[in-house]
Amino acid sequence: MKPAGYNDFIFINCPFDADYITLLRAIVFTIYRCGFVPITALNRDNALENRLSKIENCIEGCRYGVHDLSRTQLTSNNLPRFNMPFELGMFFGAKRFGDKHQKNKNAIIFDIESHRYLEFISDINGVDIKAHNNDPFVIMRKIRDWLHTASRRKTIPGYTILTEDYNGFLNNLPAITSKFAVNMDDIPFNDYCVIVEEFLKRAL
Amino acid sequence: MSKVILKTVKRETTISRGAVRNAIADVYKLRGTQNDSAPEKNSHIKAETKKA
Repeated sequence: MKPAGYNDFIFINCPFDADYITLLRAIVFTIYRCGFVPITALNRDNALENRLSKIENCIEGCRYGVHDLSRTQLTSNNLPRFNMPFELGMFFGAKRFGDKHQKNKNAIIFDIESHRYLEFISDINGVDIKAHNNDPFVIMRKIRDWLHTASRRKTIPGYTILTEDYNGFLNNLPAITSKFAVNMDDIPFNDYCVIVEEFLKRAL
Repeated sequence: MSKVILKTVKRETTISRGAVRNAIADVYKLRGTQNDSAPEKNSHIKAETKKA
């Protein structure tokens, strides 16, 4: 049995708040359904490891990255959140300065609109930024198409199969989470990942 | 379409993998194994697991 490794791991650099949950769940399902494994700093809960160190390890271990800059906007403190652009910069740095594995890195970058990023991160002018319009099915199609091109894997399902499977999953998710007396909106990220994994395995 | 290989890693969760597996099995049982809203058996998916 071939274990998951560097070429299978996809670093997710996006918000993890309630407002983003619909997009995040669609991203995670797409990654699994395409045969890859989503990785975030939330994978491990170790208080002895600081957050930046966790992020560095995640980026180093992942060939692919899904970055979403759509939350680079003013908060109630009148300051923007820079975590996502910062981690995107680390990903660029790993590709530029890393060893031969790191130089294989490949990423897809999203924003709400395709040219908004020029207002806050013009250094990456010319990079192809995809607009998702906060639509989970748009983000699924774009990630699926990118993985198909970037990995050249023939095993990635078509968009129709992907969305049919996702709709089937969403139809069953409330019944599954109700078994744990957990509201669907309160499922922790790692629990959600395991539910997706086991749901897809059940299809064997 | 050729088969997709499902790969996983060990994650720190609040619910056990076994409990998730049982919950999904219960849902399938409740709705019947011919549940047309779930992925079909023998479809394009194979599973592999790696300890992180």
